[in-house]
Amino acid sequence: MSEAIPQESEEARGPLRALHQAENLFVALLLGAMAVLPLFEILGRTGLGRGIPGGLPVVQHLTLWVGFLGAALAAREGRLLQLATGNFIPEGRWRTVSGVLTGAVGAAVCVVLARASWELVAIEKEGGLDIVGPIKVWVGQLVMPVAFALLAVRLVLHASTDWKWRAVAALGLVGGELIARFPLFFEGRAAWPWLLILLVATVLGGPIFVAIGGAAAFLFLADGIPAAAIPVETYRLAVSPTLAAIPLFTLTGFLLAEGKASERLLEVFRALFGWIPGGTAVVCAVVCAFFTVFTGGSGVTILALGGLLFQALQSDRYGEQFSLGLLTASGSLGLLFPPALPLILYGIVAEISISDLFVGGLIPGLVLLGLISAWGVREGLRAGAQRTEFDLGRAGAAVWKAKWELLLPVVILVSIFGGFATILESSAVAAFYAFVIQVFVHRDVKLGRDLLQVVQQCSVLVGGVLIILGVATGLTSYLVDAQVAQSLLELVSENVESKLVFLLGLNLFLLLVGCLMDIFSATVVVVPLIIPLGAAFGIHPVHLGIIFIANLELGYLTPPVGLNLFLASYRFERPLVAVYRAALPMLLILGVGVLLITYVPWFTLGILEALGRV
Amino acid sequence: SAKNLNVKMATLSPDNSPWDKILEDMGKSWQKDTDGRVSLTIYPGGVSGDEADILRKMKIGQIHAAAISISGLADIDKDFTVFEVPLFYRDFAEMSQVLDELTPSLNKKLDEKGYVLLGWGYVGWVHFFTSKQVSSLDDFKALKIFTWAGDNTMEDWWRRNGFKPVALAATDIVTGLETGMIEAISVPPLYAMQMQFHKQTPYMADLGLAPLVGAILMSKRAFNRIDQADREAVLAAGRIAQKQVFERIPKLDETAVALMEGSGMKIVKIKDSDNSQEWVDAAEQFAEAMRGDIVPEPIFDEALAARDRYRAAQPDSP
Ligand code: NA
Ligand code: NA
Repeated sequence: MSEAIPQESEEARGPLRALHQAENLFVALLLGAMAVLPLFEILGRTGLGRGIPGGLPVVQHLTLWVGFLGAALAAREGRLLQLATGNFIPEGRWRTVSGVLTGAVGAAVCVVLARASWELVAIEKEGGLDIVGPIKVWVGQLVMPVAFALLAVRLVLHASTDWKWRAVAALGLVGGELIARFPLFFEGRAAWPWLLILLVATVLGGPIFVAIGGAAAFLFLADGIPAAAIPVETYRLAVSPTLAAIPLFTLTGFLLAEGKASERLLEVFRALFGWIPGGTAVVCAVVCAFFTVFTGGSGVTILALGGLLFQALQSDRYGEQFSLGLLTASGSLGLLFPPALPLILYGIVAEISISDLFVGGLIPGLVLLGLISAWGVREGLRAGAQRTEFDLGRAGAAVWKAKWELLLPVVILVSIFGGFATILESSAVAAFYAFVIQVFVHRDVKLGRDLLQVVQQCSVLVGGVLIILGVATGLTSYLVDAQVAQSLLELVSENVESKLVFLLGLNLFLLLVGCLMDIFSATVVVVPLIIPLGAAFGIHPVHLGIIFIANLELGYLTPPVGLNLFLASYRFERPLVAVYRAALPMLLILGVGVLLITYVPWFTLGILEALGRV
Repeated sequence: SAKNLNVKMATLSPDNSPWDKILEDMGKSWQKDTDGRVSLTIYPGGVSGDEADILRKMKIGQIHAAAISISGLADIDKDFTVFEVPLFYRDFAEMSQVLDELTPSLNKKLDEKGYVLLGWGYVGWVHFFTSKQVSSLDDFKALKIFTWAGDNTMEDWWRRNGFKPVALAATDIVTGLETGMIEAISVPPLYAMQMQFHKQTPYMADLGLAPLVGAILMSKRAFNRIDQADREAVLAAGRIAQKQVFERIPKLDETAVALMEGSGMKIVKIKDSDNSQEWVDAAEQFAEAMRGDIVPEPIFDEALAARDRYRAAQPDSP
C-alpha cells in the first residue's frame, strides 16, 4: 500500500527556483485547460455555442501530459507514492545505503522506460496519425520520454543530500542505458533475480511505479518483447476517453478541501444529525464520505479533515481510541458513491457502463456507512457523549450557508443522468463549479498564488497516481500476453464448482491484494484477471465491480501497510501500533459489510433491476 | 530460419464469435500444413486494445498479426476510406467485386507500410439504428448521431453536412442512448444485436449505409521469419479464411435482423419509399464531397470505375 505522506524537500534557490515555478505554472495551465475544454463541448452540443473540433482528443493528451509532468513534480518534491515500510529503516548509515540503492534502481528503470517511450515516439512518427489538425500524436507522446528522463535525474538527486552518494546512485543511469542497449541479454533468461532487486528497493521505500514498471520491463524482455510494449499501454490508458475525469474530480476535491467547506459541511450535518446518540460520530463518517467521493480515498480526506473532526469528537467526549479508529476508517468511506474515482477507473478497465457502477454502488456504500454509523451510535451511548439539540432555525441556517457545496453532487448527477454531459464533461463541470464557489462566492481561495498552489498540489497527487496506473497497464499487458487470465480461469473452473466457494475465495484473494497494492494499480492489474472468472460463475459485471472496490476499501485499513493507518499515524501523531489497535474494530465491521455486499447481490443490483438496466 | 513461430494475432472480434472461429480454423490449418512450425495464438475481444493500439503493437513486434476493420485499415492508409463512402455500394456482391479489382493497388499500399495481406474480412453492412421513427432526411438531421470519439474527420464531416454528431467513447454508448445524449447509431446488425442496441434504438433503416470491410494482416517482419517453404501454406489458409467470412457473415447479418425483429425492432422502409430519391441524391453529394477531402482521388475514381463496370455487366442494368 502506498503512502502520500508529505516529506521534507529542499527549497530550490536562484535560477533553479524560477525554473521550478515555471514548471508549476505550466502544469497548472495544462490542468486548467483540461477543465475548460470539455465545457465548450457541452456548450457546442446544446447549441449554446461552438464545440472545439477535436476537443476530446486534446483533453486526452493533456491528461497524458498532466500525469507525466505531475509525476516529475512529485519526484521533485519527494512525493512519489511509495511503500511506508521505508520509514522503519533506522536513520544513519542504513538510511544512506537504502537511499542510494533505491535511487540507483529507480534511475535505471526510468532510463529503460525513457528509452522505451522514445522508441514508441519514433514508431508513431512513421505512422503519422493526428491528434487534431496539424498536431501529430507523436508530439503528444513526447512527454513520456522527457518525463521519464526527468524522473531518472530527480530520483538520483533524491537518493542523498550528499553529492558523493548521488554520484554512486547515478550509476543507475548507466545501468539503465546498458539494459536498454542490450535487450537480447535478457531474452530467455529468468526474470526473477531482477524482480527480487525491485522488491528489495520497494520495501526500502523506492517509488511504487519503479517496481511495477521495472517488473513489466524485465518480464517483457525475458519473453523477447521490447520494453516499448509498456509505453504503448500507458498511452492507451492515458487517452482512454474517461480517464481525464480522475484528475478533474481530484481537482474538485482539492478546491473543496482548501476552503472552509469542511467546516460548513460539518455544521450542516451536526445540525441535522447531532441530536441522535452518537450523532457527532455519524456526522464525521458522513463528512468524510462526502469528501472521499471526490478525493478518491487518496488520503486527502484524513490529511485535510482529520484535525477538525478529531477536535469535534474530542470536545463531545468520545474516547480517543474510538475517535482515532473512526477517522482512520472513514478516510475510505465514500469510495462506492458516485462519482468516486475507483468506480470510474473500474468502468474504464472493465469496459462497462460507469453510470451503472454509480447506481450499483449507492446501497452498498450506504451499508458500509450505516455499519460504521451504528458503531458510532453504540459508542455515543456507551461514553455518554454530548448531543446537540435539534433546532430547525440553526439547521436551516447551516444548510443555507453550505448550499453551494451541498449542490455539487446534485450538479454532477443531474448532468450525467439527465443526458447533458458525459462522465468526463461532468467532472469538468464539477471542477469549474468548485472553482467558482471557492474563488468567487466564498473567496476561500484567492486567484493567483493560492489557486496555483492548490492546482500544483493536485497535480503532484494526480501525477503520482497516474504514473503508477500508466506502468501498471504495462504489467497488465504482460499478463494478457502470457494469457494468465485464461490459465487462471482454467485452474479455477477445474477446482471450484460452487459460486459461494468462488466468492469466498475471491474475498480472501482481494483482501490480500488490498494489503499489498493500492486500489488504483490493483484495479488496472487485477481486474482483467477476475472478469473472466466472474463471467464464468455468473456474477453480474457491476456486482463484481462493487465487490472488488468494497474489498479493496478494506485494504486501506489492513495492517501492516494499509494507507489510512499511516496517514492517521502521521496526521494525529500517534504510534502506528496504536492506530492498528484503534482501527481493528472498524476493520471487522467493514469486513462484515463487505461480506453482505458480496453475498447479497440485491444491494448492488436492486436499483438497477428496478430501472431495467440489468 | 528453422525456428518455430507462434503468431500472436489481436482482434476486436469477441472470443467464440463467428470471426474468432474462422481465425482459429486458420490457425489449425497453419499448424497442420507446416507440421507445427507455424502456430497461432489469438487475443480476441480487444484485450490488446483498439485497432490503433494493435497496430502500434505490431510495429514494435509485440503482436505479429491482426484481424482489423476499416477503422484500423484507414489508419494504415487513407485509401481504405474508399469503403466508408455512404450508399456507394448497392450490395455485398458489388462491394466484393470492387474489392477484388482494388486488391492489387490496396495490397501495394499495405506492402509499403510493412504488412502482408492474408485475406480480406467483413463485419457486416452498417445500418442506422434510431430511437425515433425516421423517414425523411430532415427527420434524420434532427437526431443526435453517435460518432467514435477520436474520429475527428468523420465528426467534423457530419457537422459540415448539417447533421448533429456527438462523439462518445464506446463505454458511454449505452448510457448515451439511455439518457438521450445520442439518438442514432450506425453499426452492422450483428454488432447491434450483440450489444443490444436495438433496445434503446428500436428502429432500423432498411437503407444500408456501407459495408464494414476488414482484413487479416501479418507484419512483414513476422512473415519473413516463416520458412520460405511454409509461406504459401500460411497465405493459402488466409485465403480460405476470407472465403469463409464472405460466405458466412452476410447470412449471419441477415439472421441478426430477423432475430431483432422478433424481439420488437421495427424496420423503417426508406429504400422503396417516396423519400428514397432524396437519400440517394444526398448520398451522391456526400460521395462527391468525400472525394479528395477524405478519400484520395485516385482510389475513389478506381473504385467508381470498377463499380460502374460491375453495374453495366449486370443483366438487369438499363
Ligand atoms: Na476473435
Ligand atoms: Na481511430
